[in-house]
Amino acid sequence: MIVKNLTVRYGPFTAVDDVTLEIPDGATLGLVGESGSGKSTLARAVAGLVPYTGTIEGARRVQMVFQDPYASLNPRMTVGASIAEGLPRRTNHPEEVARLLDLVSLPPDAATRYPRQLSGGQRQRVAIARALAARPQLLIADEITSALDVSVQGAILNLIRTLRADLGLSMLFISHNLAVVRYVADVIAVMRHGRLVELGPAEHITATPEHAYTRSLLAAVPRLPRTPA
Amino acid sequence: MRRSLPAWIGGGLVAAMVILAIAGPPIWGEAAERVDPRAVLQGASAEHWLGTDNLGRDLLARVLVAARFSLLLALIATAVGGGAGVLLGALPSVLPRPAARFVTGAVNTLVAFPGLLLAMFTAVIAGLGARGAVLGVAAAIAPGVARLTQTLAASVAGADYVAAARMLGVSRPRVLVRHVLPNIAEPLILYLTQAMGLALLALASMSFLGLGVQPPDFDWGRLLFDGFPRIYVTPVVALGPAVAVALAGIGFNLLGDALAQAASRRGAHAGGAVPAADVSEAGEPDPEAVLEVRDLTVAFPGGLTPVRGVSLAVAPGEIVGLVGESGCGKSLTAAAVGGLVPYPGVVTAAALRLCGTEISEMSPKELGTSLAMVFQDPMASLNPALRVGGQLAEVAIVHQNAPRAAAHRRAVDRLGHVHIPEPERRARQHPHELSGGMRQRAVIAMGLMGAPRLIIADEPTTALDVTVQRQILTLLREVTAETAAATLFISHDIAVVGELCDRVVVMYAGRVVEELPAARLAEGAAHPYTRALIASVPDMDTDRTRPLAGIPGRPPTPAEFTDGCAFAPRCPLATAKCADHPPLADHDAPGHRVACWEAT
Repeated sequence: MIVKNLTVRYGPFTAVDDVTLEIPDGATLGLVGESGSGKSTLARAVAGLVPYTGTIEGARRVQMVFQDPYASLNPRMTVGASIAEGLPRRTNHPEEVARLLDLVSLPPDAATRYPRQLSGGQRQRVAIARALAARPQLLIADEITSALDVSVQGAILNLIRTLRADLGLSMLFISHNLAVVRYVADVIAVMRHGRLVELGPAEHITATPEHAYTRSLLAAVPRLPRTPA
Repeated sequence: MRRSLPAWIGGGLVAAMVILAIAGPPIWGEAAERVDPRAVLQGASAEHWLGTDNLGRDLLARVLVAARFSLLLALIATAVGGGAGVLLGALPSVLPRPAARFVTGAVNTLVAFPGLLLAMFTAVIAGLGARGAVLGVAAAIAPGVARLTQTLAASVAGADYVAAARMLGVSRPRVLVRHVLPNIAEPLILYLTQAMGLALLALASMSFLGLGVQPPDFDWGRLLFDGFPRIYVTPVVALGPAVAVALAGIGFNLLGDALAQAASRRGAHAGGAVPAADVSEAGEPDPEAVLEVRDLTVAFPGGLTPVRGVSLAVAPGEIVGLVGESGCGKSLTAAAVGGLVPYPGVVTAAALRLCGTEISEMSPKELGTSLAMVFQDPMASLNPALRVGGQLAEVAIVHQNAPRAAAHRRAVDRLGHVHIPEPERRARQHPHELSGGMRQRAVIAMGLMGAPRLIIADEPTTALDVTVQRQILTLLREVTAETAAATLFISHDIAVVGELCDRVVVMYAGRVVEELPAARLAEGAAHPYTRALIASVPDMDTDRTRPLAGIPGRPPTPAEFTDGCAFAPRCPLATAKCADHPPLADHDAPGHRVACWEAT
């Protein structure tokens, strides 16, 4: 997928300012930046949820997983019904729903439950299964672990990595947590005030950042103190 | 659920009306139609309680029988008006933009019309009679319902699950039917219940004006119309139907009110009360600790104890981190220290002391000046309607009886102290004009208005960006060192806790499972939960080629707590011994204690 000169304006305010980037097939692009940097707006533009100027090429089937699994599932629909909405017509729904649930490590009987009967981590798995139902070429993950407990976050990150490897998904992974992005992404893009300030391979960006803003972001990441053994 | 008197009255009246509508006609139908030339135009008597009409028919029977027709007409009018309103209100979210705008505009114009005018206008066009009246009243109800539907639908349309459905290619009408309407049904139904009462009154008014039901049919309004010319001679013939209309109208309105109140009350929780600590076996105060908590338990009715026997101490100038996942009881522990456990929680502790004094024996003023609290959302601590400086000054005015000018000077000084640039200008601003980090600084400055002995910071940086988080952490460190206060820092982020704190207390399922110097976290953690917690969080050195170590299962909820080690079901080291709860025992280094039978 290639994004060229993408700009999103809300009235006089420019949320995303002339961003150009590429996500190679099967690769994960990590998008980092602070609140108000325009990273979520960029994602919504790629997903077709906000109007934009510029071009987005090669992203025909895009699906998105949202930050808050408590708000992204219809509380009045069963898990099975939510997932089945994304399925193409003329598929065997119950069988396909069970397959998708299995893909995200949920038992098949979860299909008959309502979102309120599930934990936050389980809900996020359902949201991922729903996105996968539409067989996306590109999956956008917008802060998908920041509403979850840390022990659950690890499991979701592992799931995302497995899915990418097994299904060959391209992914746009957004997070304010550099450590999480570094773990998941091949390429990292750093945004600030709607502009792209740095773009490069994940290891490179986290080891030898060039832009001063990237360096300040890296310096601010909390680390466990390690006493020399 | 507790129901109020109006709810009972409303429910009772509506139930009575429904029973009357069903049972009325079969019982009194014959009496209502029986013409008696000998008893024409009579007043109230033992035989005819409400008198008779010009054909000698018994008016009480007619009023009772008319219940069915009156309620039925009101029901149809509400259904037609409600249906049309929901349709009109929902259309804008399905139609293309220009058409949607037109519908919205039309609804807005209709809302501006007086309802009765709209009803009479429609009734005149649709023709005299019950049908015209019902359509008229429906036309009066529809704009309001449409407006409500539009507003509610707009609020749901912004939800993530609607965005997700749109991305899945679900068509607009289908999104409306499956995602929007079911989630706005509740308030709509409440509104329609009240609209039913209004429809009843409106229909009666129409019939009374001669625009509604025509003879030989009759509803309450028609009976009122017939009886009205005789009101000065035999008032009771008009009062009968009037009372019936009034009772039914009041019934539906009260019921609608009660339903709406019940719906808004659901999910809201009761306000706080300061529970008394149990001081039976207090023991000697620890002279070195600012905060001393011994065997703290917080219980809720129904046998839930989210905090079970927590002990911790914080020394002056020390920052102790309380870390754990959501539901582990860390925030409730902090709330118990600040006397903020929500009703009906009960706090018991062998000791809960601040500078050697039991917190339950301190006056609110004493507690207010010696304790500073910082929460995740700074807006929870700041009044959005007041200027920042004024709110800070208030602390000094209330707690230290400082004069207003001096208090304000101190407020500006404190704002500058927490590194807020241009403190004088910021003091004159309202909280919404400050950034998130700046608001959190202002809250900390508020805590510094007095001389705090203890600072409780509950997830103070969770809502902030990493760079701002770093600044706030530095500030907390600075403030703790300078005031020699004890700081209790609550967080779910073990990296933040490890970096900021001197000592770390790890909680799981309401208990302390490990207590250790922060420097030992990375390499010296002994409890399997602490270790798993550290391993499951990726940091800048995590090996990207290997999966993260996760913790299987999920933490137990307070309802699932058992007497044994709560972590045992998820623990790789668990043995039969873990059915007994392990005590917090000294580990190999000073200040390191672990509650685990198998920890090495």
